[in-house]
Amino acid sequence: MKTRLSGKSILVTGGESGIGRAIVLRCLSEGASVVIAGINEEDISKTVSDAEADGAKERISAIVTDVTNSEQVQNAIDLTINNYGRLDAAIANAGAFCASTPFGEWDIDEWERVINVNLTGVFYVLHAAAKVLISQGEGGSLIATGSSTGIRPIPNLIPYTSSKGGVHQMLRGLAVEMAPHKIKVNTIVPGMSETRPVMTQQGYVEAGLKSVPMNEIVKPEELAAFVAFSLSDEVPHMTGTLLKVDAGRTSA
Amino acid sequence: MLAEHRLKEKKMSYYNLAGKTLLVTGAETGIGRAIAIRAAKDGANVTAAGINNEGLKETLELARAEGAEERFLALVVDIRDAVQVQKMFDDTLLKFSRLDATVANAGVMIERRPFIESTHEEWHHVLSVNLHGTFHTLQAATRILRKQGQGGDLLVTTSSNAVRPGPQASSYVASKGAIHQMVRALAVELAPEKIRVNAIVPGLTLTPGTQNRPGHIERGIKNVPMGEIVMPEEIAALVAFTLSGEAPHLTGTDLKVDSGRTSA
Repeated sequence: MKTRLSGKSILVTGGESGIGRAIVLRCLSEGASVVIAGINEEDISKTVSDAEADGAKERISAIVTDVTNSEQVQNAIDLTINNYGRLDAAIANAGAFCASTPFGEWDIDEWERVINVNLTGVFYVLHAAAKVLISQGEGGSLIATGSSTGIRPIPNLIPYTSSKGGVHQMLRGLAVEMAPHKIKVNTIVPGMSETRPVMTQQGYVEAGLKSVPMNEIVKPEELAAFVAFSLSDEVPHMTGTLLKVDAGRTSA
Repeated sequence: MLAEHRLKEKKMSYYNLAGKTLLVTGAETGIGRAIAIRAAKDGANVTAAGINNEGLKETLELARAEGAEERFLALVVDIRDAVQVQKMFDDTLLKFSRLDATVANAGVMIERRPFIESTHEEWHHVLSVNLHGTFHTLQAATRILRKQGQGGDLLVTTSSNAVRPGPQASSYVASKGAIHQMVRALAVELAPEKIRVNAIVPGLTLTPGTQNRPGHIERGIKNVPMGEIVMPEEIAALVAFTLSGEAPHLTGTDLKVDSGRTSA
């Protein structure tokens, strides 16, 4: 358990909280070196100090990064290589949620904000990371966080579901395109998960759980366990796969 | 073309399945054998069922080499016969006292031939094993899991052909498509009982079944973006992860290792 990912260097955007934080801590626990590219400085500090308390001081770094700014994204990639000598995986996990709003009432700015973070931000991260992986010539992994709503939409969340649908298809295309380079490309598909945006939106969980066959919230650690497995050398041909843990939401 | 050189670290005892009982059909060869041996290495009790006794003996030898003989039950079973299937579960409970997971993996492939040349005999044969046999297996397993009342796992080996069909194999594709959708329906139906149901979706995989068909791998690999065949051990590792309990809400998911075949 402590060595499956040792020697690997992994960048996680949105790694300061929620699913990203769980991935960071899991990868560290399996021996990887990890860079958090996050936007909330308070959460970054907490996650870094938690990692350090777990004895991973030499293997954790962080950089404040707005994924909608391609220069800042490049800085995060550069920091990873600078600190740990290489890049093995980039996990484009940073995302924005939005308040439930009927289609006719969206503010155009809100549409653009969500698309910029969730879709363009993923493009910037994977684009910069792919260049590094291809030039290293040793394969690697590209991962992004999609959503069960990218498969089975929830009403009144059009910017969010559109952005996640875009992520799913971008990664499917990338899986095909990156395959000759032996780069694995997989999509995290969380069902309704125990993260801050989900838990703090009034009535969201109560309403959402009605469409979850198992009637339970998914823990970020479950997704992190699946991600760690996919990053391991046990499955060199696992690509174009949905790393889906959704308590049955998209099956119904 | 083969993957063995890229399966760098054979850390095959990563998940702790000690105390769990797993039943695998089609365990005399290929993916089923890899699943049975990997689970045994991870500490599980294993019933390895198959129709070919010679192959089963080899699987049993591999388990013995891992020191898992005491935790390993090999049974000759024709899954087309519901009575034999029930006996397979009865024998499992007799030896291991419980059941945690069932992998309905047994299936038949067929020689490729154009649709208009395929026969009714072939159609019924393929469906009797791949569809009816899977139904028998899953139904008997579900009865036990329900009675135990502690959830559990059902896994079904479908195929990347269920998602992206190849030509001249209509009965095989139909049978795999049917069980693929059966998995999805059961994931929904059994979710309230915490019985998780997932599909194993192998791409073109290195098994005696694919190796013994002249030209099969050479033809098939052309549709595989990564240009490499999947190793049964990769699929077995994914099954071990699923059974580990690290993701208790993993249900209705395609456990897919296909070198990108269904993405293109």
